[in-house]
Amino acid sequence: MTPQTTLLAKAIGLAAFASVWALASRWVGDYWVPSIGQVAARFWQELLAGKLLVDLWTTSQLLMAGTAIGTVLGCALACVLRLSARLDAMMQPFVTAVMSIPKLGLVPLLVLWFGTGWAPKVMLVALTVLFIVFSLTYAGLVTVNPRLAMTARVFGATPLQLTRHIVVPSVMPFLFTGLQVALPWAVSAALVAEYLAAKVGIGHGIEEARQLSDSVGVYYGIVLATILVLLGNGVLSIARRFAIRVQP
Amino acid sequence: MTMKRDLPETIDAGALLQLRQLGISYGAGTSGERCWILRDLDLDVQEGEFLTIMGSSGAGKSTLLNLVAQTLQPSAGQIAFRGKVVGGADMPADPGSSRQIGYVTQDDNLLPWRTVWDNVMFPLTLAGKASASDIERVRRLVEQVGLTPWTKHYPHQLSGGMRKRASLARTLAYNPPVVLMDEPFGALDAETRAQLQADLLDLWASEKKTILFVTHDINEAIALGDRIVVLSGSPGQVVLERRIDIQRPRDPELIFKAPTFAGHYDAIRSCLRAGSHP
Repeated sequence: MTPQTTLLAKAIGLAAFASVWALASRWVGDYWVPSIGQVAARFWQELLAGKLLVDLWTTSQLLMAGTAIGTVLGCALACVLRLSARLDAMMQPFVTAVMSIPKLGLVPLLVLWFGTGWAPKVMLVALTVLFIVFSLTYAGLVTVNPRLAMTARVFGATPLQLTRHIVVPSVMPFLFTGLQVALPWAVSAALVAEYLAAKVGIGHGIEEARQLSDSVGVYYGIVLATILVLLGNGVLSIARRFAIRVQP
Repeated sequence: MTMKRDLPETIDAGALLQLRQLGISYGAGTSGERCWILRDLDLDVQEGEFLTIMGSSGAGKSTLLNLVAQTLQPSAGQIAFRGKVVGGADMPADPGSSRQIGYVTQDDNLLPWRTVWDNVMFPLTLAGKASASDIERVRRLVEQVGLTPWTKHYPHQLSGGMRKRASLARTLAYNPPVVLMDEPFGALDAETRAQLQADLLDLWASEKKTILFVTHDINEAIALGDRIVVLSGSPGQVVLERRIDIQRPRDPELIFKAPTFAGHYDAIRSCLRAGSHP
């Protein structure tokens, strides 16, 4: 496909989406589905009031902190389990069990333990990211080509050099895939955490609008959260391009 | 059956590489109960020699190279390099520790995330900062294998033959006295293979390496080697050792025209046949 046809396809997709939205709004009424114009007007209003950027920034901070912590812990856990077969055998059932707990179900517990500050929110995002990143990183470590590792060792590579030149580049694509899979889940976790206990943030805005039966406000929040996911994805794909020079 | 003999700490520095009573086995129990892949293998390789190793499949050819490369630890015997014992049943395998051995395997094993140039430079990168003369030497090697226009390409953008050349250049960039090659040209088409064989002979002549070359192709073994050893049996042992007296420089593609070719060919073939139908 040429760039022009790709662009055209995107435009058609966007137009179709907008028409469905507009039709739905016409049919079921403004209260259930506000019009695009109303939501757009709300964006402009909140941008001028400064609330949009504050909310976006607050939730982004939560997202970045949680993702960073979850990524570091997920990678560390994967490396530790991969390095020690005994620890792996010991921990795997436990890890699988903890992984299968629906993380959003932990919110009340986290609030009970850590109160309503930033700690339970960051923890929830971190937990969500941790297990996704762990699974992918672990898979990446398992698939490191042993022949490449052998080649490097024959050339006299130290364990550190082996890690740097063979293991890290092999795992990188897995890590980024993990982050890209985790991103929407991490944003969801951030929203849920903010529904429950927050004074600013996109999730707080949505919850507040719900309490006021302000459907435009709810839609505005959902669209803003979607924009956050798209922004995160953009950042990740740029980072991916820098981190992984070649993708055969 | 030969019992374990006392082996000396060092071996008289006659040959560059000396394998003494070398054996490798798997399984548990006494030496009689274990399954031996190679056993009581004695082999000397002279400095600058081109040795080709043949044998029926499963005779332990690749295992032998892995032992010399120290990616496997022998269960018995010793490996000595310039008279110094570098590998043995009581020494944990440590590939790369001697920095004396390069290994070209069946797969090219290029790092997919490095360009051809960075792949060829890889061993020097591991050793530290490459000097200007090293870089110049690698540039010449890349030129010799005909990859100069392709240095900025990634392995997946190259043909199989070009990847093999890159792999060869990388091993020579490491500049080890001994190069092990495990059926390096096995997966290539006949034309590319003949070209690479000729290039390898040129490189061998100019770089003065000692080469241990495993192949299943009798023509290739005769065309390249100073000497051929045939491994056979289970456990594998040297069953034939034959000096190839064909004058150099040789043309691998026309090696069958050499007057003594037929004699060598028949001797090796009958030996291989005897090995595969015991």
